[in-house]
Amino acid sequence: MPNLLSRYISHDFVGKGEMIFIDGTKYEGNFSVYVFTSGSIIGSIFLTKFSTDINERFQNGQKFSIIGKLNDGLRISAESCVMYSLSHHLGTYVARFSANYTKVFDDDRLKDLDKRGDLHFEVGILNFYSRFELNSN
Amino acid sequence: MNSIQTEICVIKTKNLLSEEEAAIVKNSFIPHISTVFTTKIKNDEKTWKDIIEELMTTISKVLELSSFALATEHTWSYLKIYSGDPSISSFVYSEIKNTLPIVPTSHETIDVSRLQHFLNKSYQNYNNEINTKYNFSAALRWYLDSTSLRYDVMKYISASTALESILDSSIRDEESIIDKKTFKTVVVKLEQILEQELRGKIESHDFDSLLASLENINRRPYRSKAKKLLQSLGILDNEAKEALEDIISVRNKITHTGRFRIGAGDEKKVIQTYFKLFRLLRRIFLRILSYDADPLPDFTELSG
Repeated sequence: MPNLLSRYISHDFVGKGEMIFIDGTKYEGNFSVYVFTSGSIIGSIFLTKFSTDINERFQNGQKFSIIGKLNDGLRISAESCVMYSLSHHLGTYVARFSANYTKVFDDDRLKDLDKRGDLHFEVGILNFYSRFELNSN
Repeated sequence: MNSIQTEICVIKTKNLLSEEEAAIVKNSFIPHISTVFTTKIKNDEKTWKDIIEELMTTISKVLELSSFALATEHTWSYLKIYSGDPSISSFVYSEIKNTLPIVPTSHETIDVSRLQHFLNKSYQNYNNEINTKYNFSAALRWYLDSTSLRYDVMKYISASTALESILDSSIRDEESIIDKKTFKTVVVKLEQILEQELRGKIESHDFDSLLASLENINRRPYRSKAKKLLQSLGILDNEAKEALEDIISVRNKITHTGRFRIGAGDEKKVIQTYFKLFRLLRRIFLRILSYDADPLPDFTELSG
């Protein structure tokens, strides 16, 4: 991750997967997905193959999903993605996109999540700056 | 005790920024993930998906109230589930949504020192019935939206829409001045008079417009609905009555012309009236939540 960006990034996910369009067309590539501290989700996918078709999809603003596996083994899906740029860089085509929704999960642990026990939740809140504690427990 | 007890869990907060950072960033007009809520829920019988749904409904309710209290849209950005104390090794699942909530100039509706008290009390009072009766959630969005817009007229329209959405919802049963059945007989007589007096004497489309508009004369006017609402909430005092006249005057001017300009010196009229409307809305929201917090900060000095 570029140093300049690090201070603005809340989460970053790097892995390999596919961008999948509504008509079922798939493009493979290595991707990065960044969640900014502003709450926006931005990503890049480095396509292993290029077809003129992808340029048309970019021009038409077609929505797609990203499904893949992160380098640390977690699964990821990014939904309602739209490309905002498509460029050629060092022999690779790079599609940069914004995503509306992202899920990241541990496939094995997820299967056990309905077993009885405590679930711990953490929820990131935007724009809440009050310094007091809602609970002192 | 500094705590908010919900039906399903106790929520703790953790600030991600230092006090100084928060003071700067909150007025930077850039949304920021500034706080995390943490909680623990035992999954005895429900599935984790059901628990998430219940938790996020609860958190959304808290965030609506805190958004109102601090006049800034608070919303969640990400949710993480851990199977034990939060750490990489216990991480199971996360959802992240792309959201850019509005960031207005900061002016707290509820003083921060009273926020704890406000959230606890209003959380108990804010239920589905209140939400349906007063269209609370939708009206709150318009109210918050008004604080983030730059142009006076736009701010005014948003705040005015907030009031109208409350009026339409809360006075729905009293929308008609006289009951519909009685009024129908009046309409028939009025139609006969119009037929005799005007048919063939004016353009047919104008005549049809007159006939069609007869139904509207039984609708309670805006001023009357607003007074009924304020009266029902117990806040129809002199301040509210005086504010209402200005609010209606500016609303009518904007609605009918798309701008507000009467004469020299009126440049500040819209923003001054906006703050009267904002203050009135705040009183309405507080009364709906049965939260008595007077004296409240006075924002009229911000009107320039």
